[in-house]
Amino acid sequence: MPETKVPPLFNELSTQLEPTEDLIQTPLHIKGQHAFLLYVKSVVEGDKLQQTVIRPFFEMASEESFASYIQSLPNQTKIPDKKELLINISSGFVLIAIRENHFLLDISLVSNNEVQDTMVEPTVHGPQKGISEDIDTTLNLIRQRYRKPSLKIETIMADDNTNRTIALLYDDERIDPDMLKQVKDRLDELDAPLIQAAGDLQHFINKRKFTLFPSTLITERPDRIVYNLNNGKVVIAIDGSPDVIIAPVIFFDFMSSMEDNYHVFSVTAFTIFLRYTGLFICLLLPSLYVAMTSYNPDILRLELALTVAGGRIGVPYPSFIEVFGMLFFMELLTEASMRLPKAVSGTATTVGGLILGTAATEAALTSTIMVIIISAVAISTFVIPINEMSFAIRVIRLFLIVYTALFGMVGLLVGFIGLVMLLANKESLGVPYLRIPWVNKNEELRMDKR
Amino acid sequence: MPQTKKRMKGFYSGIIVIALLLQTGCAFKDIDKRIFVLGVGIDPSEKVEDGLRVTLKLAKPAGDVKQEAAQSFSYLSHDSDSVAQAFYDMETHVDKKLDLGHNRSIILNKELLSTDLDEPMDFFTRRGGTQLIGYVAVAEKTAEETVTFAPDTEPPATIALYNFFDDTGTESPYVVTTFLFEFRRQALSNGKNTVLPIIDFNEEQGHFIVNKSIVLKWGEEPVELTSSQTKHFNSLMNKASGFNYNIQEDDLHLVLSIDEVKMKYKIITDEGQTPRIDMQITKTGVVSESNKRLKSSHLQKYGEIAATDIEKKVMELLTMLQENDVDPFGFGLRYRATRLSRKDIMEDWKRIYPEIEFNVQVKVNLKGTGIVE
Amino acid sequence: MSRFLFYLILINMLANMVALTPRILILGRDSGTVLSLILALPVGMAITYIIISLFTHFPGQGLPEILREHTPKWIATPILLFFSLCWYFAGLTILIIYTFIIIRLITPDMSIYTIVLTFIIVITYGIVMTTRNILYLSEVILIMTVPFIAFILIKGYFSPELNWDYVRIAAMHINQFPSYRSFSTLLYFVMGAANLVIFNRYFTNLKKPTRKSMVLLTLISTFIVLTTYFLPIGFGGFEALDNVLYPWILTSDSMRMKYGIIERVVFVFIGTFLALAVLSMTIIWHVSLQLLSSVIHFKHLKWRKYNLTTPLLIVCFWAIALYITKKITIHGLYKSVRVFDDFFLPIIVFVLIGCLLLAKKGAASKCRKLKKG
Repeated sequence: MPETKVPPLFNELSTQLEPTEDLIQTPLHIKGQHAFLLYVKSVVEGDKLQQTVIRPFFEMASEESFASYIQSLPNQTKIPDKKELLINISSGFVLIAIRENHFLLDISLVSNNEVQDTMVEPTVHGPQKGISEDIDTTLNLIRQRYRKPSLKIETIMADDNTNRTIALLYDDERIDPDMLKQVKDRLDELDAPLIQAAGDLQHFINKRKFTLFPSTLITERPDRIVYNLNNGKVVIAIDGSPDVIIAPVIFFDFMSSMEDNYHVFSVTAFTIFLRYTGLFICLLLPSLYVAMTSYNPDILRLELALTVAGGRIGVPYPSFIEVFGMLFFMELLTEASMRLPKAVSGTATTVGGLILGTAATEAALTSTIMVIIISAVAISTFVIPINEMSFAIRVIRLFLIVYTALFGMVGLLVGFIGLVMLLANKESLGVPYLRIPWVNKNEELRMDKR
Repeated sequence: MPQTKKRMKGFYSGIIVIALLLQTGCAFKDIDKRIFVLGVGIDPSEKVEDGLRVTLKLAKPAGDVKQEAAQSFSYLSHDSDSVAQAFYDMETHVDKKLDLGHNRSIILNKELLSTDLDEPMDFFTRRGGTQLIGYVAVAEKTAEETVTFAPDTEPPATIALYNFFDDTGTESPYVVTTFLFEFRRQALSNGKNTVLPIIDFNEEQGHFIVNKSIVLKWGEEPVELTSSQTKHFNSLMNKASGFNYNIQEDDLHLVLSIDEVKMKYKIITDEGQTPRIDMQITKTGVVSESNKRLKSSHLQKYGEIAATDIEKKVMELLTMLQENDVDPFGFGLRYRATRLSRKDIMEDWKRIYPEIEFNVQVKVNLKGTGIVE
Repeated sequence: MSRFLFYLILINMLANMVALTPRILILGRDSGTVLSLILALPVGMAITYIIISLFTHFPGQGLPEILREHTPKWIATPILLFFSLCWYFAGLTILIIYTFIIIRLITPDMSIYTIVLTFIIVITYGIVMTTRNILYLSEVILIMTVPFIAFILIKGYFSPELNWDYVRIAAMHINQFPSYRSFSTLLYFVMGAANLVIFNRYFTNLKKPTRKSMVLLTLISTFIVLTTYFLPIGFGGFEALDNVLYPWILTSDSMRMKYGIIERVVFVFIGTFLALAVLSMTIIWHVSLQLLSSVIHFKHLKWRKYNLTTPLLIVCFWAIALYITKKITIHGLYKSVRVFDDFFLPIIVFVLIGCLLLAKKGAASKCRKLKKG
C-alpha cells in the first residue's frame, strides 16, 4: 500500500501556522483512497465537517467521485494566493487535498450569529429585531427583506491586522456609479491598524480627522438599511459589528426616525415638529440664556426679566460660567448614566438631577431658571433620533455659548449662521450635507450631473 | 487649496478669539447688575429754571416673586435742564445700570402739554433701545405723584398701569391708548392731533382712574375731553368695544351694551357747496338694563331712540373739536390722502376745517333684549 | 428659472429692505419716489430677464471665463477689477449699515471692532466656501427666515395701528416727476441677478426664464418693493419719517405681539434680517473675491506648497472694512451709496450686458468658423 505523501502545500502552511494548539492536519485514507484535511479546530464546526466531508469520504467509491462531490458543495471556494489562504484557514476554512487537487471549504463556526434586539434606535412600531454581529447573518437579514436581483453584495477583505470581512451592499439600479466608485476607492485605500466596528471604520472612510458632524450614518435597524438601499445609498457592513454604515447621508437623515413612515400623517408631522423644536432648543437655549441675561434683557417679557433677575440674586458667577457649570454637570450625568450598569444608573440620575439641582438653587449657586433650562436642554437632546447627531449637537452648543458670551445676541445669531455654513460646506461622499431633498433638484446644478 | 484656506482661517480666527477673550466684558452686563426703569414721569421743575423734574420708577428684583407680599419698587427723582441730562445724572444715583429697555410708560405733566414737547420726547425716540410701543399718558395731578403711586391691586412683578393700556387686562372704551410711535408720527406729521389718556388716582381707596383724555395742540393749550366724550371718541376711532350707553326717553330708561362699532366718513368738497363730512356710524349690541319690561318686537324702536341720542352726542363732540380747531379723528389726514398732492394742501385744509359741516347718520342695531324680555 | 437664481434675487432684495434703500426712498417721498417705483420695477425686471437670457448662452461659465475666452486681456482685466471693487463696496455697505443698527439698538456698549469681528469669523468662512455650497446655504437660510418675514409683514399689514391714510398720502404723490435717485436705488434693489457673473459657473443648464417664473418674480418683487416703501410710512407717518435713519427698525418696533414669547417684534425682525444680511454679504463678497482672484494671482507668494493669494485678499478685505467702518459716518455712507447707485450701477449694467453681447457674437462667429473649417 503506497503511502501517499502529505502535499507540500500542507507542510508549508502548517509550518507557518505553528505553533498552534488547535491546528489540525489529518490524513484520511481507506482502501487506497487518500485525502488530507487542514483546519483550525476552534473556528470550524466539527459536526458539519463530519457530516459533509469525513463521512462521505468513507462512503465514496473512488477518489474521483469524492473530489467531484467536494467540488459540488455550496461552500466550496476557489483557492486564493498563499497569504489569503492563511487568513482563510485561520477564519474557519478547511483545506482539503485529494491527490494534486486542493479544495477550500467554508465550514466556519460562528457563535455570535444571533439577531439582536434594537437597543439604540428603538421604535414603538416597526421591526423590533436589529441585525447580527455576524456578517453572514446580517447579509441574510438584508437579503430577506430586499429581494431584488439588483441588490449587489461585494465583500472586501479589510486590510488591517484582524482581516475582517467588509461587505458593500447596494442596489445596482439605483446607485450613482460615481459615488460607488468613490466608496470603493476609499475602502481600498483603507489604511488602519485595527478596525473593530462600524464606528471606527466610518472614521477611516471619512478621512478627515477634525469633523464636528458625522458624515456617514450608523444604524442597527434593518428597515432603515432597506429604506436607504432603496434610495440608492451604499451600505457597508463589517464582520463583528452589530451596526452598518450608510453613506452618503445628508443632515436631514439624522433627524428622521424610521417610525415616521409607520404613523399617520398628523402624528408624523407632529413628531417631526417636536424633533426639530428639540434640536433648536438644545442647541440654542443655553446660549439664549447667556445672551438674554447678560446682553439684552429687554428682549424678554418684563415679568420674566424680573423673575430672572430675582433668581440671579446672590449668584456669584456671570451667566456664562453658570451655564457652563451646569451644562458640565449635566453632561457628566449623561455620560455616567450611559456607562453605568442599568441597576445603578437610575440612582445616579436621581441623585445628580434632582438633588443636585435643588441644592444648587438653594445654595444660590445657580438661578432657578437655569435649572429649568438645563433640564429642558437635557431632555431635548434625547429627542434627536440618531445618537451621533445628538452627541455632535452637545459639542456644538458649547462653541455657540462661547461665541455668545463674547459677542452677545448678535454673536448668537451670527454664530448660528456660521454653524449652518459649516453644515452647508460639508459633504458626504460628494453629496452636499444640507441638501434639502426636494424633487428635481439634481437637474439644476452641475455637480449632480458631473 | 482648501487645506491652506482652512489653516490660514484657523490661524487668524485663533488670534482673533484670543484677542477677544482678553477684552470681553465691554458690553457684558448680567441682568442682576441692571435695574429696569418701568415708568418715567416728567414734570416742570421747581428748582431749575425752565428745567424738568424727571421721576423714574425702578423695579427691585425679588428673590422669590410668589412669596413677596407687596410690590417692591423704588423711585428716583431729579431736577435738570433736560430729560437726558436728568437721566445721566441719575445714573450716578444707583449702583446698577439704568436700563430703559423695559420702560413702557411715559407720563407727562399737564402743564408741559402747552409748551414745546419736542425736546423732552426727543430723548425717548432718538435714543435707541427705548420701546416705541410704550404708552404716553398725561397725569391729572403731577407726574411724579402718578408714577410713584402704587394701587392696592398691584401684585409683585406686574405694573398696574401697563394693564390699563396694553389690552390684556382691562378693556374699557374710556381708556385711550397712545403708543409712543403714534405720538411721534402724529406730532411730526400734519393732519391729526394726538389724544392722550389722563391718569388720575384716588389715594384713599388706592386705585387709578383712567377715564378722560386730552387732545394735544402742538405748542398751544390742549383741549380736554370729558369722560363721556372720551368714550364716544374712542368707540368711533378705535372701535373700542364694551361700550355702554344710557338712554332716557320719557319714563323709559335703557342701558345698551354695544359690542360692534363701524364708522365710515367721507369728506366732500364739491364746487359751490359748503364742504361737509358725511359720517356713517353703525353700532350693534344688546340691551343690558332696563326699568321696564321690554318687547322684542320693539327692538327697532329702541334702536332708533338710541340712534338719535348718539347722533346728538357725536355732533356735540365734533363741533366742540371743530370750535377748538383740533382734529383727533384725522380728517385732515384723510383730506390729504384722498387728493393728489400739491404744496398748499394743508393750508387749504386749515381754511376748510373751521367751516366744514358734519352730517352724522347713526344706526343702532339691537340684537336682543338680553336673556330676559 | 432655477430656484437658486430666484434666491439670489430675493436675498438681495430682502437684505436691502432694512439697509439703506427705504431711507433713500423715503427721503424722496415728495419728489417722485412713487412714479420711480412704478418705472423701476419693469425696467429692473427687463434687465434681469436680459442678463439671465444672455448668461444662458454660456452654460457653466462665470464672467472671468467668458471674458478670457472672447476678449483680449487688456479689456477683461479692468472690467473684472472694476466689477470686483463694485461688489466689494456693495457688501461693505451692508456690513456697515448692520453694524450701525447693532450698535444703536442691540448692544450699544459694544465697540465697533467687536461687532465687526463677530462677522469676520463667520463671513470669512462663508466667502471661501464653494459657490455651490453657498447656494445650498442660501436655500436653508431662506427657509428658516422667510416664515418670520412673512409673519412680520402680515402682522404689520393687519395691525390696527397701521394708518392707511398715511400710506394713501404717500401714494397720492404720484403726480410728481420721477426722480433718478429713487429709480437707481430701486434698480439696485432688484438687481440680484447680476450675481450670475460668478454664480453662473454652477448653472450648467440655465434656461431662459419662462413667462410663469417672470410673472412670479415680478409679483414678488412688486410686493417687496411696495412694502419696503409704504409700510414704514403707514407706521411712522409721512413727514415724521424725515429724520429717521432706519425706517424699518422704527416700523418693526411699532408692532407688538400681545401674547407672544417675545413682545417686541423688533428683535425678531433684527434677528431675521441679520441672518439675511450675513448671507447676502457672503454672496456678494464671494463674487467679489472670485472676480478679484481671477485677475490677481501672485505666483510666488507661497507658504509650503499653498498659494497665499486668497488669504491675503481676504485679509485686505477685512482690513479695509474695519478701517472704513470705524471712520465712516452714517451721512458719509448715504452719500457714497447714492454715488454708487447713481453712477456706478448703470455703468455695471451696461458693461455687463455689453460684454455678454460681444462675447455672444464672438462665440457665434467662432462657431461659424469652426463649421466652415
